[in-house]
Amino acid sequence: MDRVWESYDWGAGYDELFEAPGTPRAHARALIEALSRMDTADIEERKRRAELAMLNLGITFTVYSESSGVERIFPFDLVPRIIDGEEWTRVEQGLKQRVLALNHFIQDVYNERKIIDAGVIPADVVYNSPNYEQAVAGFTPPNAAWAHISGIDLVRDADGTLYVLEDNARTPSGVSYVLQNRILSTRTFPSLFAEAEVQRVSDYPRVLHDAVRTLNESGPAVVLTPGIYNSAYFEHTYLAKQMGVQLVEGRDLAVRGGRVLMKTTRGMIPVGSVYRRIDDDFLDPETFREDSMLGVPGIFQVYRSGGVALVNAIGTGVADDKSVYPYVPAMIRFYLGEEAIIPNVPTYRTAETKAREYVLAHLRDLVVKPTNASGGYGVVIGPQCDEQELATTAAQIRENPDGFVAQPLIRLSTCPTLIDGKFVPRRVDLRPFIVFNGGEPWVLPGGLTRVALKEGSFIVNSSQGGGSKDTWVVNGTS
Amino acid sequence: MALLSRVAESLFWLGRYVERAENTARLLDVAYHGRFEPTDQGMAGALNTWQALIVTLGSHEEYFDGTRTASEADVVQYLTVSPENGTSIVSSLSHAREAARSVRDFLSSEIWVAVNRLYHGSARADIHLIKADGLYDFCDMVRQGAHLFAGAVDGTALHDEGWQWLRAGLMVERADMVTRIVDSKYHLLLQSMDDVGSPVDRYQWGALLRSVSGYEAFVRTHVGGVETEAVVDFMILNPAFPRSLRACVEALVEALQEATAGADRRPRNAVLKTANGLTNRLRYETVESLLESGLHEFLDGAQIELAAVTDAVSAAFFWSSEDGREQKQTQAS
Repeated sequence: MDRVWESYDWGAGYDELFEAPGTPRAHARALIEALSRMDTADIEERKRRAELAMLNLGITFTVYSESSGVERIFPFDLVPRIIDGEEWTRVEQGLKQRVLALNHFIQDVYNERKIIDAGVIPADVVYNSPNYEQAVAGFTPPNAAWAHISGIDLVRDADGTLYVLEDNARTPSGVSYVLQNRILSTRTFPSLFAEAEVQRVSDYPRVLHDAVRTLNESGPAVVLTPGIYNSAYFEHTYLAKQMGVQLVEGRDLAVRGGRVLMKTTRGMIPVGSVYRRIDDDFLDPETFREDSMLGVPGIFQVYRSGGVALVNAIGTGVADDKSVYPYVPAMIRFYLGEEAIIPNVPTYRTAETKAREYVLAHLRDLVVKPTNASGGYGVVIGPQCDEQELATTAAQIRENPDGFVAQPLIRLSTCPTLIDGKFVPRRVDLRPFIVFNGGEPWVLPGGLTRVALKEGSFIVNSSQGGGSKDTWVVNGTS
Repeated sequence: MALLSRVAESLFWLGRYVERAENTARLLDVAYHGRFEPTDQGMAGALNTWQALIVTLGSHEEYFDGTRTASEADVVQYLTVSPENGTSIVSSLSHAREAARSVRDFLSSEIWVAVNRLYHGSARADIHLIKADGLYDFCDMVRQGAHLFAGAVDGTALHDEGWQWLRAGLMVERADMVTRIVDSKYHLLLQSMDDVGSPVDRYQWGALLRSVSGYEAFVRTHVGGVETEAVVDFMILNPAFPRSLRACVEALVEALQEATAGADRRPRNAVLKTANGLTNRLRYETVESLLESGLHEFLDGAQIELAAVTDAVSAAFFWSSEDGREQKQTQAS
């Protein structure tokens, strides 16, 4: 063990690559040794060059709170996060199970309502949710597949248990970084990578294209973007390019004669399926928000009559609502007759009186989240708050009990991260991506590891100063 | 795969904006170095170099709104970095980058990186450094970056319909600019023909040739030296000089023919008729008759025709945001 690791200590918690200070986990040994042999100044230089390349390539995201110069690169840490292949097999099973149950649930709540009738989930949790979409009640999309692409966020607590932190069943983003990070990390560790038998991620665009295309083969598939000012615009262009399909904006499409047509320099061409990266609300001003300039007027009627497939389906938000999340293990039991392989983080719904009393009494130990927001916006971490912040949060909960859930603070696991020339522990989460179009779900090996670059920080979102790492799933010990 | 109208339009404007930034840089550079010429002083009735530059670029009404003077400092700021000027170099490159971003999936990585670097490089420039003797470096950076862009366009893009639209945009802009550059001679002299044949006159024509990188080619092929008729002939009618009006318009017609190949005859003819009309006039015109009937009027007419080509192209092929035309196109397809 080289001296660069002597000072590496993550305190009382769980580290992804070390089992004890100075002792790497079996699946990470080869990486740690390789890193010991490398000059950190050299690694810093590689990182600087990788980041410059990312800026010039425009691999950027947009931060809404900054007025000008809004494009930033998503900082990339060269030290990969490694997952043991055996553990991954179990995670993969857990993710497939969860995605199947979520899809059953969406189909059920818009149609037969069996789960409500059985008393497993209270009707008001589902039907009072702002994410419940009345317009698709009674509708069944092709193959009864709704959430074709989901991102299920996983976190690991201090005792090593993996939990599902939240489900993203609308338009989860970040997969382009998984593919880009892989290119950067194989450049940095070519020989190590070759020896480690890392599972491939490069199949994703093909699997995605097949899943989207086969839903409606009456025309080509396209990717629909809100445009260049969207924070994930880079990802939209990247996926369209990798899938080999057109990237369109709302104004490129029009509805005529029961079809969705694409405006080209040679006239109008019918489209089969649309991988849309526009929220439900903005998709069709005739059915949803009238003021939307991003959508395609009339697309919803074509969708309902089967003239075009939409990916993800409309209305999937009902499954990733934070008020529905506590019921997912029950859903898995109800639809699949199985126990959840990956547990939920215990969650208190402040809408329930007893839970609310508990939450208000224990605010300083809990994390409070708005039920209808993502990207880490509005999250309050009790242990890091002063009295006044706690009082403000308590007042907000009393005023709008439906608007929040609370969870115990998960002591997110750490992973070595290179900061100012030193390897230091930083907290990470994991967003695996799952593709589903009615058959067996397909799980991208690994996923996006996000890392909180600030010391002690628990928030890994890119909009809150997080970075990312490549995620290696390795077969056996490396 | 058929090309989206919006993509075709963005590629067309990408070509135009990069070309505009490059030409503005060329004109600025020539004007800046013109200051050192002692002959550029005290011409009765003429505009000063900086005023003439603003007039050449067609910005005089917007520029002389009472907040600016025809001083070097004001003009340089206005044409290089000013965000108020929608066609300043930085604004043009920002538009170019925005157009490129909207067709990111369509461009080769090399083209995208060339545009992106050119934009970042110009947007980072410090106006104080530019004013303090840094103008040459700034203009040179823009020119070099534009050449890199042109190289990437020719060397790495698939030579398909989209490429032809990009070239068409570039050629329209280049053609338009050469008419403005030649016409600027008219504004410099304000029709006072007393100076014709004088050292001032020769110097000014030389500067114009330099601004289109034509000086060396011109002196190599014209032993008689820099005089009005020969320069006008070279910059307007010469088929071999790539920045002459004729060469640009011929390249434009070629690009438009390729870009619209196989399209419905009606919209295609509307575009090609206008463009071909101009080409034919340039092919069969002589410099003598052109000067006799009025150079300024001729150049004005050429600018109007180039604008008409752009309008015809927009109406027939760039219709993604206009609902009124959809019906017609649907029937045509």
